[in-house]
Amino acid sequence: MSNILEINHITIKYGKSIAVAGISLKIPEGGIVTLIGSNGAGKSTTLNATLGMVPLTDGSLTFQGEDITNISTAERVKKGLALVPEGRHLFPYLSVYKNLLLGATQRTDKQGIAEDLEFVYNLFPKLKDRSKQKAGTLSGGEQQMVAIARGIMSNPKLLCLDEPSLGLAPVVIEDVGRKIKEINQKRGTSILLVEQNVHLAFGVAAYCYTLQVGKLVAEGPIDEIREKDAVRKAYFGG
Amino acid sequence: MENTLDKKKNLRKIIPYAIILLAFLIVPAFTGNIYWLGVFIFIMYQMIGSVSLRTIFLSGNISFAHGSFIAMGAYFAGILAKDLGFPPGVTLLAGALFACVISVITGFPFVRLRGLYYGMASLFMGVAIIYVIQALKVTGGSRGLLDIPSMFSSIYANYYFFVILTVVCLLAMYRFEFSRIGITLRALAQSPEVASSIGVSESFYKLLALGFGSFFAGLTGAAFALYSTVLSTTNYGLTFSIWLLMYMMIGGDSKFIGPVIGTVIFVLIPEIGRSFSAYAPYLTAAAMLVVAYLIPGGLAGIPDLIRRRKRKNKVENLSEGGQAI
Repeated sequence: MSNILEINHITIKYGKSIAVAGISLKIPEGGIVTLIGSNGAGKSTTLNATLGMVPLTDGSLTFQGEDITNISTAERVKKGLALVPEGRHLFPYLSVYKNLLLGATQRTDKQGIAEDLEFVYNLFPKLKDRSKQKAGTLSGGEQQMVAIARGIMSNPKLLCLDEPSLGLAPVVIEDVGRKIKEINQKRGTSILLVEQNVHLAFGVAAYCYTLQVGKLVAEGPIDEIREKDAVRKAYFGG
Repeated sequence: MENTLDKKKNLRKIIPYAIILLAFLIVPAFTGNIYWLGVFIFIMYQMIGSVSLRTIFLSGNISFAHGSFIAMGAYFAGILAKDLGFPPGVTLLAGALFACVISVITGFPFVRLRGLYYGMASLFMGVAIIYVIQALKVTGGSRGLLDIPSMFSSIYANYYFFVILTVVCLLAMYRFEFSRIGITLRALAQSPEVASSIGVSESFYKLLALGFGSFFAGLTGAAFALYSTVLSTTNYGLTFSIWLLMYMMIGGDSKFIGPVIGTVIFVLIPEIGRSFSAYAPYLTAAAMLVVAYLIPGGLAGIPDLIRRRKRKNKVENLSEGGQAI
């Protein structure tokens, strides 16, 4: 199976401090990969750099066999990358419908946009009921749904999710996990899931990378990684 | 269910407003008083300016250069008409396009700045443009550009032309605001970071808003130049830009109708108070303070304010009665 995204030895610095030190990730076409690690491990930085919002100090990015290291965020989105940012980050004063439509900024195919709107409304029926409501008035779980749905609206080939479990109740987290799987199965969208919540990550993904203070400490299929000591150390601190 | 951007429905919604505005603008035609026709032309000229300033404001940028872009449209049209003898149709469009192009070119280096910093950059840009106009020979320098051939000799013709121009411009800008581009601009204003994370190019959309707004600024400037036949840089300085901002802020910057109301009121106050004209500035200042303190959403926000009060009263009544459930 070919890889949709290859992150090759990327290093990212904030001033003098190194946030990510020469890590490499591969996301297979149609697969779900998770990147786990504790606070400050560099997970979100890696995602933001993938979308081009943080500059790379070193390394390169290959998306569908094409080098995307030096193109703008807008162009990356056009090529099929989408990010669901951490902490949801909607446009609170715009309606749910308008938030969703904004996900399709780079698209011009009206037919496709209408179909995808139908898809996300079917995936999250609650959003259809609330389409006219301002996004800022929704509950945390509903806002996360809008954020994910907005990501889908750009019809991405690879959907990057940054801690979708943040601040949500366990029941809601389970639901989010199911929806992520559903998106992957129904649309064939590859998914890169950055998480701190190992239960969600392991329940959804097939392959796992573990980050610790900017370095990869373990990787492998979920079943193997579950047993590894390195993960326990990186994660549970003992 | 709001499944599409229903443009027809949106347009139908504004028909009553459009009729009220049109009726209001037509009023002086029946008084037969030529002085009031002039006042209303002045209102409409600034109204287009203020509303077009708001299209730039939609993207989250405050511009202090808008008066200067109006000046550029006015001078470019004036020079084309006077020195080269172009017909009004050409000069109007040329003035608008000139302001649009110059705003995009000069805006390009600064468009990545946000909020106050963009405001500073635009302030210097606006002042610099006025200095350039004063320094050039072709613009008549600080003596002003005189004897521009007028578009229509009759004030009535000028007046009706401005009514039509205002309606057309406002409709165009209204459609712009409620198009997908308009939504994207509002998203940019709310959070440039999130907007760029979902693939919105900040520079492109901000330049688009700037160019679009400046086009109408140039158009209204050009139209006014061909009506007044005399141009002087003193009318277009920083104060003019600030007035346009004032109309928008006091009228209510969150609503399309805001700058329309603001312009009407703040041009009319000194006119109505002409018999005690020495106090007119105080009257204006007092009105501004009242709005700033009591109606934070601007004059156009009054209906919302009343609605919120009513809802609040309802809640209070319920809790007083102790039977909230």
